[in-house]
Amino acid sequence: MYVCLCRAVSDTKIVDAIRDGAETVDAVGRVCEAGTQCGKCRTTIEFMILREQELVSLAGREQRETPP
Amino acid sequence: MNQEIIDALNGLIATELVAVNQYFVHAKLCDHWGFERLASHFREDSMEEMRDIEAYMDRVLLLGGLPNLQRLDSFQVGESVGEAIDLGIALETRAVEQLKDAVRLVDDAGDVGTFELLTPKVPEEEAQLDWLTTQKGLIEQLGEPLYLSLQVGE
Repeated sequence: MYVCLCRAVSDTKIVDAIRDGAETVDAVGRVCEAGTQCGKCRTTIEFMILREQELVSLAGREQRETPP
Repeated sequence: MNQEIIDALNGLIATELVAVNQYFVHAKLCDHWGFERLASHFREDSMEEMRDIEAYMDRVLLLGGLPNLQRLDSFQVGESVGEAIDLGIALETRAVEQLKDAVRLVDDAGDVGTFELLTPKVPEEEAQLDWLTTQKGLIEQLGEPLYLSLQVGE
């Protein structure tokens, strides 16, 4: 779905940017332009960054806890 | 002038403005994709929400306040029919809860007029939510291609 309507950027593109290393809303904006015009979607992008970071840490914990 | 009630009505207006715009853009997208039946439903829903806004505006004015049409909260747009329906469900679920909160507020405040205005809107919004939920159920049961084939044509 489109998260940034001004620049027509979808959630998949934003998640790609985050997974490629964008750690802040501004960094996401530099990669895919999301959140760079009116700024209304910036809270959503921030939430998406936190969610991705949470997923990464969960995956890490799972890996550590899984016996070899 | 009860500012709390005016604020609540303006809050409802803000949510309805999102609904007007979200449904309208989904109507145009569905039309563009060739799903005319779905398009006319979204279009009618959008118009219905606009009529609700008009009623809330009249009430705010009667209560001595100023209707605020400036606030347009952010919302998302679906890239597919399924996403459009999911976004509608999320929006309508929030709208129903907000409306019920407003009903409780005006009831406690003894504002019978606003109470009478708002209560009939609850089953209307619930019916919209129910329609969206039904569409989601149909997609799950029929599969997306079959469901979408039923949405082609007037």
